[in-house]
Amino acid sequence: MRKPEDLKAPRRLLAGLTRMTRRDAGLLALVAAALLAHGLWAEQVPWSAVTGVLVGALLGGWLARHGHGGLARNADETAVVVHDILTLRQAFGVLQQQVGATISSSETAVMSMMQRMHRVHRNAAELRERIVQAVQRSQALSADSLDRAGRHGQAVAALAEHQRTQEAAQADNQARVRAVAEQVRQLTPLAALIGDISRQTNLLAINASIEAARAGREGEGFKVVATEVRRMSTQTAEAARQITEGIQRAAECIDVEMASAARMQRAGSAVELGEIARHIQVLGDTLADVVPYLGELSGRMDSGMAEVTEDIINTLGDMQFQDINRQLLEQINAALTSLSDHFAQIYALIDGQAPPPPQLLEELLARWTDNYVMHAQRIAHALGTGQPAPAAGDAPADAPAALQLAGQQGRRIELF
Amino acid sequence: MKHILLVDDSATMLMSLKGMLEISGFKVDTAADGEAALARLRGGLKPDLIITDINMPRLDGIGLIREARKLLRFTPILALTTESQQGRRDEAKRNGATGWLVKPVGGSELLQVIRQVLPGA
Repeated sequence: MRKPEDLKAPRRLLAGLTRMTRRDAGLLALVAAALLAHGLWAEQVPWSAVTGVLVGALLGGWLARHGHGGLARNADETAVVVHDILTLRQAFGVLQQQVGATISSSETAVMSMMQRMHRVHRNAAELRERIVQAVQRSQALSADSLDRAGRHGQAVAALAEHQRTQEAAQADNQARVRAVAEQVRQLTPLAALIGDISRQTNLLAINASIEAARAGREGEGFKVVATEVRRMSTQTAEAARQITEGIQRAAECIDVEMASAARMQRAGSAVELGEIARHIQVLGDTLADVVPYLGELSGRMDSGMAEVTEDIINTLGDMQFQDINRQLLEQINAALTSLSDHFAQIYALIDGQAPPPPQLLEELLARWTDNYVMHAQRIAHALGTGQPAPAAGDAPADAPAALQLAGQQGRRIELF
Repeated sequence: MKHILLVDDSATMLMSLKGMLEISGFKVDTAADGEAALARLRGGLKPDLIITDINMPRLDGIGLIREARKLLRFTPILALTTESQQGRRDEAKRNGATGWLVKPVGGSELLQVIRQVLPGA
């Protein structure tokens, strides 16, 4: 509801404006244009100054054109126009704050998302590097294992060939030796036979000596022969004994040599097997190194992926800024629409085509707050109209300014 | 796998929150306003959790909470909204809301709240 005191200041301003000429109005318009141009050049337009000067120029020009008579007739209506135009500065201030909050909210969210995406990229690059290293290490290990496996295969094949050759040679040797040993052993009965013959000959020699003694002198010559035969028989028996012992020793030597050959063959196999066992031990040690490496790699991959996932989750959470900005912009759009409608009525009033609007712009501004849902909107409105800002709510102390602005009255998160 | 019904009139919000929750291992259904969500519930949908915006066309979040509570007595319902009026918060509480979260809520922070109201999630 309009009150007489609301219009005092506009009336004083109006008194000054009524003394303006068209030339003064033109000069004011030029000043407004200069302010606007400088503001655009400096990327910081002083909207309130531009608006004030422009309004002065327009109003002064209108008064100079229509003369003081019209003003006298419609002093209240003109005062309403002046009051609304002066309030326009606050309206622009509110909208400027709302737009500022929107820009700030966007910047904060986008910066946050960019930082998260940067971390995601860095983590992904690290994971890729680890995977490349793991692949290279696996390839090296595979190549080494293949090389060792090849060498083991060659060693085993050589061992098998060696074994076959040795077994064949041993079999041949043993067969030959057994044949020789058998031949040697077959001589033993012959030596025994020689011994028997020698004993028989000895008995015959004894009998011959007895018969020679019985024959007396005629048997003397025969006695000499018998004695000689007996001596030869003794020597033959001794030779047979020595032959038997020699055969026995030869057979024992053959057995010893055969056992030694078998031992040497086993020793050769043991050397080959020892080499293979050493290779397998090296392979086992390598695998023992690989298992913890893979475990560590898996752990790093898990933690890296967890960080990436958390960043993606928080980035998606940051997208809530779009909903906040949408509502801020919807409110700005509604405010601009109501402002446009209001001034359409003011222009009609100036042209004498319509009565004053049902409410002052100041009242219209107050009604904008009815549609606010966010604390940020209320803060922006208070800042724009020069009123004290509402309490900032419980936004985190280290939160960016835009998020603090987007805070609210009461706890941000409350479980009932 | 826990099942969440997301209700918001912002397609961007639905898309981003759905992605976030699915990455975190939840099954997610969406509805563009309270009326659509209520139709899904009346059709037999029984989510483990409902997360709803407050200011929506047709049926707003408060109305959805009130009607959903008649169908699902023990299902937790969280309001995720830009609305800062204490009166609206109290209204939601009276109608059976489990919690009230004011946007923007960080992704990790939202998951923490969800795990509080959905033990074992």
